[in-house]
Amino acid sequence: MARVVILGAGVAGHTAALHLRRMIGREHTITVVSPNSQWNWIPSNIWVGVGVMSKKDVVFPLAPIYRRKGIDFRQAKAVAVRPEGDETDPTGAVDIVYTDPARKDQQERLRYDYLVNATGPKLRFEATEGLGPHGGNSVSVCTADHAVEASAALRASIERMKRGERQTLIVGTGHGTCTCEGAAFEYTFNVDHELKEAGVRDKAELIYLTNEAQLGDFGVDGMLFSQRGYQQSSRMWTESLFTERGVHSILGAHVHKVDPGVVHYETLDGEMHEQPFDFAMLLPPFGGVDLKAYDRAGNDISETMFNPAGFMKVDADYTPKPYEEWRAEDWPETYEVPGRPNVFAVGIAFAPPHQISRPQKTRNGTMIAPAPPRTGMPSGIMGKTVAMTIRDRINGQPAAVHKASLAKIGAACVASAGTGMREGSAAAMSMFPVVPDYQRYPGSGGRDFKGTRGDIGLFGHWVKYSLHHLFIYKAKALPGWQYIPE
Amino acid sequence: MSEPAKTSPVITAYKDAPVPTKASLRWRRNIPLQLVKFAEFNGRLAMMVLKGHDDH
Repeated sequence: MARVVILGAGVAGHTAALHLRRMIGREHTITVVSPNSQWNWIPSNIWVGVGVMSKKDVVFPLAPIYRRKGIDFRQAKAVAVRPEGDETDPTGAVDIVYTDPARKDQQERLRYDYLVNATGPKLRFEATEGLGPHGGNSVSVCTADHAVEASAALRASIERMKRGERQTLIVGTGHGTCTCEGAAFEYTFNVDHELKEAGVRDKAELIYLTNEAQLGDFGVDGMLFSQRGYQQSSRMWTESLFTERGVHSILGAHVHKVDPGVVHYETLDGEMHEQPFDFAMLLPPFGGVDLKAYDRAGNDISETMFNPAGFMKVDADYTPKPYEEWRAEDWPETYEVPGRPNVFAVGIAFAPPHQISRPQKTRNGTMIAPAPPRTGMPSGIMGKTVAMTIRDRINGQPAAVHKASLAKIGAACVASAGTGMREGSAAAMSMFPVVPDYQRYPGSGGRDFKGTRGDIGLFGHWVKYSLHHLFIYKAKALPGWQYIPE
Repeated sequence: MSEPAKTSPVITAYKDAPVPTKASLRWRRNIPLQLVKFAEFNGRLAMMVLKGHDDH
């Protein structure tokens, strides 16, 4: 009998748990540890944030799904990993603290034979003074509750515009090292759409404030497309959309502070600026969750297992080297922790070997470096891949390994730009692979033109809307869920 | 932190960006064309799933 413990019930952890459950016999246990009682389809939070969906449309309780599938669910947060066990038992263990109201703050040590760290990000609002909804001066769409609050703030701003007031709305990244620029991008254009629907677009200055050095970077060093016989860049394509919609932009920005009604930020040239606002939705930078690691004697070995940002180190090449020397092969394939063949980290929890976009420093030494996205489709693929590896190892193949390098898998990014089955739109991008491989695909931005494409139109909204329903269906493990690809 | 700069970094428009014509905007909502694009996009996703997964 094997005990599998999965930390986190987001896209990566939930996918790993569901696939493993159908792949291995019931004599093996699967335990999912998540501090949240509900599953959240995060890509649709932007629709909650503009008020076209409610919270209940994007979340559902996890416990009934896990009960039905025979997965042990603990509503708790992991606080320590003990890969060598402790003084009483050499079996690996995880210390958890319950967030479940019925057992709140109780602690427990769970033993595991296989551990999957899929804890997702810690939302580091504290990295920027005054950032975020928890006592700060901006809103967020990172969680469903944040998005509900953002929607209320947006509606209040729209009401003021209806009374004739002009408003400045800022949407973007709240720190120079943020990721998920695509989410900020789509929230920007959904706000634009809602302002038009409310008949107040002429009363608003809408500004996209980003750490990207140029539009269309999206934290993946931009994309090149081959369309109508020409190479087009995601930069040109995105600049076109901003110009067409009258959305203003601030590029290469690190936000230092958010005061009530004023964002203080630095640009790549080292200049400091202030931007007054009436409404600001700014994303926080991500870090690893507060998880420590200890050896058998109880010594802190966190530095050997996590990078300084708190992400778990896996089978990547973390050798420090200049941007020009980074290679696609540096990226992990198996997500196995070196020297610990029964521990894996997937989704946002694994430490990327380097940025994909060129990191830059201002003359003041401020780092402005979009972090690599590793959410959504790639997270699901990583979760399933690790599940297959664990399945094979449980079934007597200790050397079995399955691979899913971000430098070999593709991803779709569908950025909604307005809702409606006949009047909606979205910028639909696909990239193959996610991490550009400039040696394998020279002259095409490091990607395969066949899989890399961007287009804007109503079809993009249909894709985004279909994905919303398909992935919630899949996450609920309803009949045939396993045939829906990650 | 030094004093705020006097010039605004806010970019209001990209002069060299190709702006779509009214016809292009209409095509973006043309149902038959969008159905074809919907199928194409899903085809590319299927290609990624087939090529990118180590699905053994």
